[in-house]
Amino acid sequence: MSGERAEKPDNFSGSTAGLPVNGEFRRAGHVLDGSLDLDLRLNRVVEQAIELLSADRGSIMLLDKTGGELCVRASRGLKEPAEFSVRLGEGISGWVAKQGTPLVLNDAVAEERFKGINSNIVSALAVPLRVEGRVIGVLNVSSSSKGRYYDHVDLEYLSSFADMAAAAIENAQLYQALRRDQEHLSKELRMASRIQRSIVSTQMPCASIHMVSRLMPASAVGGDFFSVVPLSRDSRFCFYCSSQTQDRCQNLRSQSCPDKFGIMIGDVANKGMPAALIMSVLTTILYQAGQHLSSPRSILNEANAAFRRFFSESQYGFATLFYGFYDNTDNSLTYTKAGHEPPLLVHKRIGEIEYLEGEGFPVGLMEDGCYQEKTVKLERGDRILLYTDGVTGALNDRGEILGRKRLVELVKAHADQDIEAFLDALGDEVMLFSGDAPQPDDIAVMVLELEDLYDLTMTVGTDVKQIRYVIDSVLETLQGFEGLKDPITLRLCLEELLHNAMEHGNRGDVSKKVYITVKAGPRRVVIRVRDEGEGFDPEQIGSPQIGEPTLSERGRGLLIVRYYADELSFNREGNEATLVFSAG
Amino acid sequence: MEIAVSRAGDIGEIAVIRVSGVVDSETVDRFGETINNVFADDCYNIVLDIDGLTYINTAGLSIIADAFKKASQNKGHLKILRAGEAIRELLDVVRFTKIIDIYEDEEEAIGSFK
Repeated sequence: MSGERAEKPDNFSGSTAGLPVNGEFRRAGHVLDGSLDLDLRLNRVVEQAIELLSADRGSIMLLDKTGGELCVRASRGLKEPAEFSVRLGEGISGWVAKQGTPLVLNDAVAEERFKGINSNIVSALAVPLRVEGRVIGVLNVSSSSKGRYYDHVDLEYLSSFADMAAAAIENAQLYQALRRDQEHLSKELRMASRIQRSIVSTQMPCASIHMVSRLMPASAVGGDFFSVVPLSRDSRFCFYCSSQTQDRCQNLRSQSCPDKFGIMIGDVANKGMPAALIMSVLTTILYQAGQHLSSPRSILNEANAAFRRFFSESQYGFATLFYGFYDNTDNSLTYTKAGHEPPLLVHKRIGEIEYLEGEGFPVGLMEDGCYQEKTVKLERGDRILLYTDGVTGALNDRGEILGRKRLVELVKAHADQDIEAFLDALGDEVMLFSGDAPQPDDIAVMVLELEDLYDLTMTVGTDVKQIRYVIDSVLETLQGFEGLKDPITLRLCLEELLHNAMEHGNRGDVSKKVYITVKAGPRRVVIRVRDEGEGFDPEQIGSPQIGEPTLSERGRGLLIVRYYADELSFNREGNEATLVFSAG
Repeated sequence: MEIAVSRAGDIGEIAVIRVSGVVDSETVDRFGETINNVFADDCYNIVLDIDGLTYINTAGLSIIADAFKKASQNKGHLKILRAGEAIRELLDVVRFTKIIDIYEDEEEAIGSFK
């Protein structure tokens, strides 16, 4: 409340007996300051008005949005229902609102305009609630006490109070409207945030790569992103595989290549909604490019061109990016960097950290991004930490940035933890560093690790007596693999394939050998059994019809394998079978 | 693999074959021989108790299938007594359970020949 308005009551000192003194009026003003809740405020105004004028009842009517109708919004002592309303110009309140003039009514029952209202009322005051000259409603008080007649001094007094109250009510109304808008906006943002998170893909097709990630926009949505890009195994688009691998791929049931995938992390300049919009377009471009381009360099060239085409008019003119192809067959990562923070490659064996550097301008900045392509090899246990500058750029309350050097120290300090704990620890350290300082930028982090693989290669002669030895060795190798709920499963499948290889493949020829390779990550086991026979056409092997009761031996083995294994496929020559078991 | 044969029924006309452990490439021949020996004694009513069986390969399953067929051809029956959960699932996969009766109770299995 302004001091000016609080001073007004001074004019009333010495007026009618029973009127409150100056201090009381001032207190009334303070009470109105309390809460921004509209209903609470309206009720307080009525209570205060009643108290100030020693009235029996009081009410506030506010003009509706159209300005044509007055509705009771708060009342005390009224008999009429709370939703009572009148049209502008009708009744006492309607008249006061329309004229913008306060009214004193004595012997109110006699008053023509006082239609239908409590006949006990002896005296009443009705004053307009005005904000900057505009009427927003009417404040009414009335008394039934014999001999308590309001006069023009009381009217002035209530008018002054009404001026204060009107401003307070207007504030609360504005606040309410603002809050409604804000709720609407934050609902939209929550949806946008969910949509953005759904764009980000973290489905890892490769068994031997374990990946964890965190996306923490500074606001609901942001311009940082990362994604694992599954590469299609459809040979029309698959440029990554040899023809032989392609052939095998197509016999498998899953759609993406299990040996290769694209990985990207990026940071669109600026934050919030504009960055999020650009991010979603850029992600789509990168996804599409991954389906038909065969190198990270060509993908970034395409992204650069597309970015410049779409956002040439935009002030958010660029994005930093790191894009790589991981190849599981030789554990290599071929990447191109577009002005992005260099990911850290943590070499487990030698305990060193390598920056994955590379020349190249941020996407969208230059006609020619000058992108380079580099390849690094991973060994088991090696990790790659991909991040955006929200990590290295984290600020503490002294205004210092975390920086790359400190990040490397943190990575070294937590390198012994498994990658889930490793990522958690990094997150904690960044938060600890920032303290109470607000997160200034979006943060995206992902960690990949080439996991320890169980690996077994065996060669045995064509002798069924060897089968148990092979199976026992494999089972021993795979001890603790959670995909094997029941060893009977793997045993049955493996025995069947070994039998096939010896009996049907090598046709019992003792000079021929059977080769077994087992590769297993914590969640996926791949077993290959190859023989030296002429092979067969897998299409020619019939299986009994589904549900057909049979005691026929034909196809029983394959029936069992197909039932228990998650995937079964054969090479083109038909002399190598690949079995896949997946956990969960 | 442990395997044992005993006789049951009013005049010992039923052979109860109890097999436990692992029927794999190393033991499957002995499993087949044991059943053939029962047939050789002119007994075609067989209760195959596989309660203790932990593993059986496809060759072992073939022996069961062949034994069922041979028993039927000679006016006898092969019934299975007590299959563990994993083995039961396997018998389902190869659809034996649609053809061969499986009993949980030994007396009931033996009584079923009457």
